[in-house]
Amino acid sequence: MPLRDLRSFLADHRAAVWEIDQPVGLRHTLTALQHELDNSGRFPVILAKRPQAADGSPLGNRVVTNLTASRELTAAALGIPDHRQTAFWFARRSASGIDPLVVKAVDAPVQQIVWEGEQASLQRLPVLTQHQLEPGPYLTAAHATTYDPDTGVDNTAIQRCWVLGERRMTWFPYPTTHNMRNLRKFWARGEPCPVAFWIGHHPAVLLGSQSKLKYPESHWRAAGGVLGEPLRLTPSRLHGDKIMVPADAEIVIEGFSPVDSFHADGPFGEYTGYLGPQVQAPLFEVGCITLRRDAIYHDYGSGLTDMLVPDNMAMEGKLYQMVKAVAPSLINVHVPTEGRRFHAYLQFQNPARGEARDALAAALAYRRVKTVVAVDEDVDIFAPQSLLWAIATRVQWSRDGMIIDGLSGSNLDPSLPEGANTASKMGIDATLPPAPRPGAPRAVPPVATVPPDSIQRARELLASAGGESWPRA
Amino acid sequence: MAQGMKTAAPAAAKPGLLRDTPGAAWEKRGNTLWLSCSHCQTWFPVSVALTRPGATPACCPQCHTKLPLA
Repeated sequence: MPLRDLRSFLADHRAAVWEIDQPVGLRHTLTALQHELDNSGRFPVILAKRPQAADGSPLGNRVVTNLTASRELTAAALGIPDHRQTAFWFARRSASGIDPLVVKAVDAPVQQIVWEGEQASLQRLPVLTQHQLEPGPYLTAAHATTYDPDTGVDNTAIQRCWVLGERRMTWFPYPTTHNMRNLRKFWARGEPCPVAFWIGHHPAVLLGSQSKLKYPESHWRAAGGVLGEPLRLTPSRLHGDKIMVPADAEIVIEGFSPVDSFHADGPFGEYTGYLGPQVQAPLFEVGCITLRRDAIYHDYGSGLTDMLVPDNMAMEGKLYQMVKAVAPSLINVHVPTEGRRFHAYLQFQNPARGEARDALAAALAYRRVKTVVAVDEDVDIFAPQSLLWAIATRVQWSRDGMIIDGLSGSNLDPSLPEGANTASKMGIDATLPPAPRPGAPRAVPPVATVPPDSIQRARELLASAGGESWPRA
Repeated sequence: MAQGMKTAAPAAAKPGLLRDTPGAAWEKRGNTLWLSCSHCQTWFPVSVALTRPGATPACCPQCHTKLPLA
């Protein structure tokens, strides 16, 4: 099987890639393109071949963004035949990991070029400034790998980094993250924390390395599980085999986080679609940068579908596992991008009495989820009009709404009361009541439908009609 | 259940009629009365008004058999 990396993915899906040959500004313009595409419901991968710095000067490396904005394309990258099967597929695949394969530096494309000393400048990379009010350029697809000094077990997570200068940046591991635990352990010993940030890989590796795991537990096995083959790793140049990095990544930035060194960070565009406030973040000092020849710099459009799609797909797998344990009639889960990461839709096949509400309670325990809707199998959880129809016609709020206060939530939720540490959440049971007895119809009005042969004839008529000029709304 | 589906006639409070069973206030219950045609066994929803004295007979949407419920 040929190696699977960012380049193989782009080559395999050329028709979905928009290659931009003219110069494109890194300050806001590429991100503005993503906003426009999101708003018009189009999701090409963007490959900017001539990125321009803020002063108009060209930068050597190409930029890929919008890599995972399309659910269909991201599912294809994972080998999922239909994106609507993500929940079940992800639940199964991420639970079965594959051990990584270690290769020598000479066999690691990511170390083909090494920038050291004065050469190791972050300002040589085509880093984007995405939104207004952000203080400068941010790495948005940098996977920070650290390790637990007690056990040696590594951890990987995407953490944003504000480029402050040639060899200095912030990085923001949220206080409860495993990377922050590792950082604190090093600092408690009076030692700088070693970190390697790797950028650019096959989308399956990107999603697999984001799997939610216990502490301490390496992400490489999970990444291999999602990739479907061993992830190739190589020792980092500065940290050796204590921090391995993906051999087929595009760029690796290595260095240390000096003890007790912080800097202001943000405001920064978040998955909610709002700017998160300025916070305090650890500093990082660059030791060296390694790259593939003609490296492609990967950027995630923060708060755009580019970033929401992969994380929401992984959430679907996790929710499926959580809910299936208490509600065996669960058949599918969708975390729609229009709900950011706050909405989840659960689909059931003939749930027993009480089962939908059990499922709602279980799903609301997922920290980021704030609103969960349970529906039957005749409702398309990937079509908002279908879901809203179920809510409109199958819900009496005093009976079917379930509000639970004081559950864990996202502190980025702009609607939280000041000082709140927990969230108020809602479950909506939009399923139909079960039939009074097996074989009998449910005691509800039948859905108005037409027979399948009539639908087929209608489709044939429409196919021959054209209709490009007909009103869309 | 799809419209027009035919099953064996169920036992019900009234011949051919089916309504949901009572339960706790927080449990979902259906509000619709269903009738199974005694001739072709097609299920269809009927208004409770058709069960009241003096009401017109129900009419099976499939075979048009008249079905007095009052």
